[in-house]
Amino acid sequence: MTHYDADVVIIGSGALGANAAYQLAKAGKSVIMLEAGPYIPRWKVVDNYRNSASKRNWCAPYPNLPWAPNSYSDGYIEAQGDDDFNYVTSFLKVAGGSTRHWASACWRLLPNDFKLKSVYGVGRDWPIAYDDLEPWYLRAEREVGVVGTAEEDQSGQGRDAWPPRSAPYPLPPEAKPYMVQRMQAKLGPLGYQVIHEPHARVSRPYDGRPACAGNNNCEPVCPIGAMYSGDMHVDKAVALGVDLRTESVAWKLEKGPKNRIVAVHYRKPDGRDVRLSAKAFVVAAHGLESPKLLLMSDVANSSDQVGRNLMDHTGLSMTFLADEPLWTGRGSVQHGSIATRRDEPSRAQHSAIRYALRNLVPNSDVTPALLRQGLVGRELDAAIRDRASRIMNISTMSETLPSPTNRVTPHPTRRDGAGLPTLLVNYQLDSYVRGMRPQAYRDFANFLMAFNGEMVEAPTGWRNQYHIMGTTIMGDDPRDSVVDAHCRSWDHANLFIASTGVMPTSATVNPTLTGIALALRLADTLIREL
Amino acid sequence: MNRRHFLRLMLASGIIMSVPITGSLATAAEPENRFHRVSQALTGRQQLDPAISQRLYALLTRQNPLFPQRLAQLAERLGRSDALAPEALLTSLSEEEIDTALAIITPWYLGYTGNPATTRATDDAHFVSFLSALMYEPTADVTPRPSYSQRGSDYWQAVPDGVSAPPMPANIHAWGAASPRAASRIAQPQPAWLAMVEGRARTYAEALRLTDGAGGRS
Repeated sequence: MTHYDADVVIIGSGALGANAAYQLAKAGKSVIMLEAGPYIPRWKVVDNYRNSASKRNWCAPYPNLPWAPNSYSDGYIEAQGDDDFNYVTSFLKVAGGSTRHWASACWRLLPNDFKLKSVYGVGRDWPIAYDDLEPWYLRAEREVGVVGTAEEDQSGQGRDAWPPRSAPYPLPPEAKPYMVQRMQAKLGPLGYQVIHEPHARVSRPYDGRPACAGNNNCEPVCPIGAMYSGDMHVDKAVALGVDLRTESVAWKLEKGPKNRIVAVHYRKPDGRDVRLSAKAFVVAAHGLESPKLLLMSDVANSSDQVGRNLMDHTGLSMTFLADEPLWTGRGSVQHGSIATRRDEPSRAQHSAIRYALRNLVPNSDVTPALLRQGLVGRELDAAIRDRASRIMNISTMSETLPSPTNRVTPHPTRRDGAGLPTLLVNYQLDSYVRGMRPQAYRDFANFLMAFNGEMVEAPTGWRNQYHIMGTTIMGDDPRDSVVDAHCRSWDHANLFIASTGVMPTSATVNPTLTGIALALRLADTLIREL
Repeated sequence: MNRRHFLRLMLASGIIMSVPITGSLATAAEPENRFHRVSQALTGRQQLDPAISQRLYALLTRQNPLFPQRLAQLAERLGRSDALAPEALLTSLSEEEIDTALAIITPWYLGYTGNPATTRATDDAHFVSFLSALMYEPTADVTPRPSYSQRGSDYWQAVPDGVSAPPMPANIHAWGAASPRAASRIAQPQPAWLAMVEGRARTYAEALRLTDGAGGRS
């Protein structure tokens, strides 16, 4: 009888990998979970944040090691693309993954988001429908503790509650900040519905977590653990016996007979290599790193789609001073959203849009410019108070389409501290996303007029939202997709991918909840088969 | 920094008159002590933390070996304010002395020196202070210093202190079915506001000129 080191080896300990690990362990499976970075407790991240000079740098309080570089490590990501857009993304390498520094928006996709091609004639369809994933959406919401209301039309089309739900959200909505009340009071009469944004900053004590107390510090770390982050399921998985191996960088998947994956090889900081065998393997190493590992290993790529179809919610952002005090910064870093353009017929021509309302304590944003103007003393203090009370930022989450030429590959020449390739990204904005600009401008103009706004930064430049999708794309045809409807590699029956990279459409919402739902579904498949 | 502009702002702020900086300031023998007193004068605050003062002095000296000398020069100039009217004192400051003053004021407000990067791991920024960064003082009654909550869950729904809220629809604070519905049609924007969004005009006045006055206000 063959000996295996574990039933399942999971590569990556982020929210997706750790949720899969926890479910597998609960079902009695033996699991080894590899993590390139170290384990760092919450208190230490909070301490690092408080002692950091770069408080708007959301990777700064986390480890950045030669063998586990993150998105901001010098030279780690080389990006090529358009002259008017600089591809930047943001991720961590640490136990718990990049949800350690997210803001925890937990949207479901809409039914139409699963069938973009058949409804609007663009992009691709998923091989599954909304209804297929709904039970796992609900389980994901319960695992991470999602706050929301089931009474609103999240598609923004002025109908009743949508999308359909089999049960209410696990937690009721938090209070609505004064700023959001003002947005709704001013923008509602212009036709824009402000709705609640579902998220995982619990509004009541839940699963050992305290209720959110509005520290306005979701990013880069919730100091009290009210907001969900992947380390919570890392801890739960480890408590059930999952063997977490940190500072263990997976660099090769080994193929065996019958196209099965027989082992993964990982490297320790001292250069030592270790080989692990298992019945099944789950790659959950991040939307850019997972395809890199597959390409380095020359596996799962008979379609030539691994690393391709890279999507983000690349969009526009406007900052202005309102003619009245709004006082962003009370509560969490974001509350509410405008979804009016989320699912309109214009999706056939250009990107859908969802507007995000930023709610940061803005003192560190407004003060440098006032100092540069030479303000001092009481005048400076009064100007800080005035600007901080009136500044407002609204940005778009814009839908991008899967394009094979937008891709990530292992860098041909550059190497990290472990001697492994760094990342090379090619990413260009097509006419579909560029085509939403006139629509966004008209909406921004209405927003600006509503508050007789004084422009601080016009929405003329493109920026990413750090939501990575498409790079290990799911489909129903092995010739043009990487995984099937169960997140299983078309090429290797015992290789699964837990990643937002499997998403064939990007829609206009933060993809993590969808990723967790898919990871839970994947775990159920494995539990059934092993 | 334009010297004339800075002087005008310093005078308008009244901070030189609000803090007694005469006597001991100019004669303070210890550079750290001198730095502390000059900081008090330039920020208009007596209650500055001496530990932060020491850290900042060490940082500025490390970054610019000439800093102690420039500080001494500035301290001497400010210390003569008992002999001169504030206006005369300030107009006597040189460009270099103004730069030195701003190099002191800026990190007291921001809590760092240098330029922190938001999307790179390395930068030239150095930590000075967090909770004591003076930029948080003017808003301390309304917004938290991030990572420290003021009032527990849901405090953010209330109208902030000092704000008189305009009339709003009933149930504006509610989410869900009880929340007010938006109008069913989205209005076409006014050309002037569109011009600002498109970056064609910097100000509303400019936008009005550009669009022949087509810019209704809300």
